[in-house]
Amino acid sequence: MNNNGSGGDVIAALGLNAEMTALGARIDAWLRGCDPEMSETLDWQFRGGSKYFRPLTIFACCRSIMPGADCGPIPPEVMTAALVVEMMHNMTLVVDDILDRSDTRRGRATMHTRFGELNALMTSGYIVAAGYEQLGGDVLAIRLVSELIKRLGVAECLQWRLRRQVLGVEDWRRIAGEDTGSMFEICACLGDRSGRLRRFGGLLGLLYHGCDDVGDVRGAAALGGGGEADVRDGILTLPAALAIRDPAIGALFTKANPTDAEYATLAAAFAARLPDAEAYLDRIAEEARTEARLFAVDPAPLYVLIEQTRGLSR
Amino acid sequence: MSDQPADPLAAFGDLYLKGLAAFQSAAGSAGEEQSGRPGTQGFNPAAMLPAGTPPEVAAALTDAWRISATSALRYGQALMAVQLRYQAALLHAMSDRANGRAAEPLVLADNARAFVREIGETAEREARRLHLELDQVSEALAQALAQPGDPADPARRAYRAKA
Repeated sequence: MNNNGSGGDVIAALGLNAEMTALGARIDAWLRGCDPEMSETLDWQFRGGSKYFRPLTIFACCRSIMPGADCGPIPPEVMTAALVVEMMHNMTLVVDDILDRSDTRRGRATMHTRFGELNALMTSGYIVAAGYEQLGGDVLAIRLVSELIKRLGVAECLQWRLRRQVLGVEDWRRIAGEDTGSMFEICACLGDRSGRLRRFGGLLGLLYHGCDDVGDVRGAAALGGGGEADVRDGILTLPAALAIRDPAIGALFTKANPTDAEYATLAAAFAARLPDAEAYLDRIAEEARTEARLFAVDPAPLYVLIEQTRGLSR
Repeated sequence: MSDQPADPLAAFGDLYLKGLAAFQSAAGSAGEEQSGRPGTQGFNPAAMLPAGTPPEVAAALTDAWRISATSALRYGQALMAVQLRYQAALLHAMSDRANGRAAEPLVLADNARAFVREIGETAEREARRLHLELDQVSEALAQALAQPGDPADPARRAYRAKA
């Protein structure tokens, strides 16, 4: 799962400053009401500098269906859904960091590094239960959040099962669509409350996932690597799916323990396919724009989300 | 209008088929390409409805016909666009293979799978678009026929077209 975010500029561009402030207040209120035993871990996780791109997506989708003066304030059930999605997102980050053995996130120690795995795992379970509690009797939101958690679990297992296999871009699309794609699909549905923007959300998530893949390779390449963790685990990123079309690179990709020289070859091959990956992401962005144009009442907020996301890899 | 069905809904199926034929004919007419959209001169769907059809219903059915026929045409065009986008790549790969050149099976398979996926997505997107547009016609008709209600009655309809 990926974790990049939004900045103040995009929030201002969407005119959602008040809503994001209100969300921050909801998160604070929830944290204050949690069991004191969990306070330290939860504070650590939720006051760690999230950019709230998923709640922002929910609000933008809501605005794009009920634009202008008709909309009024974001409805309370949409605000609650944004809170719960942020909670569930943080739960996935805690679990991801344990699985990936990540020591740091957002420039600080991960929860399991700071508090140990038991505390991290128990806190992640606490977050899920508390999230459902927040949803109360909102049956639509309960169904959507349940779908999200199930799909994220399936996606992680699928991605791991398919590691180190010579697969195609279509396979990457399927995996990414179930992973980050499902998260943004559900965000769109929670925002539009009708499913009308579900496909848009899926494409935005796919774009987000691909930009993250490319950004990792680009950032690591600048440091002489190429998205090291994913390369060593044989995870099918977008640059990897394009690079392993070369049979020689594909053969290296399937090796469980590449040597340093083989790792360098893989990293270079991934970096060499960045222009193709960027072109592919441009096409996904265009698909998302088409969806926004066809199915939103006011597509402008959705265009802002697309541009913000597309910028993550550049 | 004696040979027409008395029920506006029964007339709709016939109207749809005739309208689609008119659209297809118009789409194939070079003279109308300059207008940028297919024309249907001489085809008046409202005239095919039974006499006495309430004007709101006639307007809605006419809109529904126009939307349905446009959708069918647009779907065909979109399928053609997908076909054209992938045709060159697929033919090139198959030609390579036929000539003994090293076609990459993974690339060929990826292109074929993307082509199939886009065919499905094209159908699904057009279906959603049609559904949305027809839903708006239905909402508009319901609004047009709604009786003014007692504002204090909590059971009154609170329609608002979704745009």
